[in-house]
Amino acid sequence: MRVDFLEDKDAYDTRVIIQAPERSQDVEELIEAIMSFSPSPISGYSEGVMTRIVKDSIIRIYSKDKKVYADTTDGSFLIKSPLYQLEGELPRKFVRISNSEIVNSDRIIRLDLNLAGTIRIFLEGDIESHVSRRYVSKVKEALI
Amino acid sequence: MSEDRRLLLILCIIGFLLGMVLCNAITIMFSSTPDHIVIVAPELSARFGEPLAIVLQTLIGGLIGLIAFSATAVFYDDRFSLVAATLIHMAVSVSALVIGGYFLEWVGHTLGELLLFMILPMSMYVLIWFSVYISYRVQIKQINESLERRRSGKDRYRPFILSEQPSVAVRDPIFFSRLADCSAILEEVLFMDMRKMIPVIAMIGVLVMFIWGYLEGTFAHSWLAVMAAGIVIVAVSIIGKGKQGS
Repeated sequence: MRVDFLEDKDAYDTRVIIQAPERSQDVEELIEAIMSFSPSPISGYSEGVMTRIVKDSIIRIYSKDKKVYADTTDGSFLIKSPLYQLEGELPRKFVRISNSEIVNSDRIIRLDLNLAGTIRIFLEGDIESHVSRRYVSKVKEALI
Repeated sequence: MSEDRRLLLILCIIGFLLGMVLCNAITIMFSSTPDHIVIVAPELSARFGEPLAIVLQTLIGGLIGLIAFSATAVFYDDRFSLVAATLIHMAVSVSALVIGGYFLEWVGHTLGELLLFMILPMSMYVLIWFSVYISYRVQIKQINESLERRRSGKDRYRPFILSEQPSVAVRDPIFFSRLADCSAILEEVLFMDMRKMIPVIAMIGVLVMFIWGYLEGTFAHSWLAVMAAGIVIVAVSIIGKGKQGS
């Protein structure tokens, strides 16, 4: 695969053009990877120390007691941005499952429904949470 | 206006309009005979005069619809489980129906008659809970199957990153759906092609109503056949929508 860079000082935004003989599965995967690419990591705080969190390592982001936290493969961090702002910055694979929580769809293990109608979600790192009923169709849309 | 308030307002408007139409339609169906159409209960008509009785019935019907529809907002509130939301909705709606029905003379004023009047709507709630539960179950099953496909690499269009083995046991979807889970089997058998049967169910309901009404000489009870068909159609539709993700 060849990668070319064209400098255009008048360009309004960064634009990626893929040139290929056909839209094969490899091309589709490349498109998906580019679409989900997010350049800037998120700043997280743990015991007062700031860490740059790679978005792929995030399992979930949730708000609790008016604070926002991110559970990652490397531990839990306090985030200073509000949840709604993070939602706009995160790649498409991050799905909102309730008013207070966003999960990385790549880190979902399974969902479960009990007889009372409570929908539980199991994530990597032995994390268990709940999916709001009004967000079930959105989760499905993101995954199917 | 917040999204929740807008939803509540829409539910109230729809409920009020539907309530006004349905309460008159049900009264006509329940009270009329083949040779005489009754718009309001004779007792109510005798007390207020027919024009005022019709207005009262329409307004109270609208109020019952408004209360029942606005109460559906509990289903959108995650503080309540599905069972709790269904029970709250049942308590609110059946109370409104019984109080409204009592005033509109749809039912006798003894305790036994009131309890009998409550049984049908209360039994409908079992079906509502079951339909909604199956609808969610179908959607969750589809999501889990999609996750399984990603994990096994069949869905190549969506890359799946799993850095470690799942720490929670994942049940085999085939085993899960075909052998172990009775409700899933029931759902597969009962609802797979049932949506195609909706017009047939509707026609059977109407046909049974006519035959029942003809044999009995009155349509006072035969409307139950149409209502039963309607309940089945609603259940089938909800489950069908669940499958489509609507």
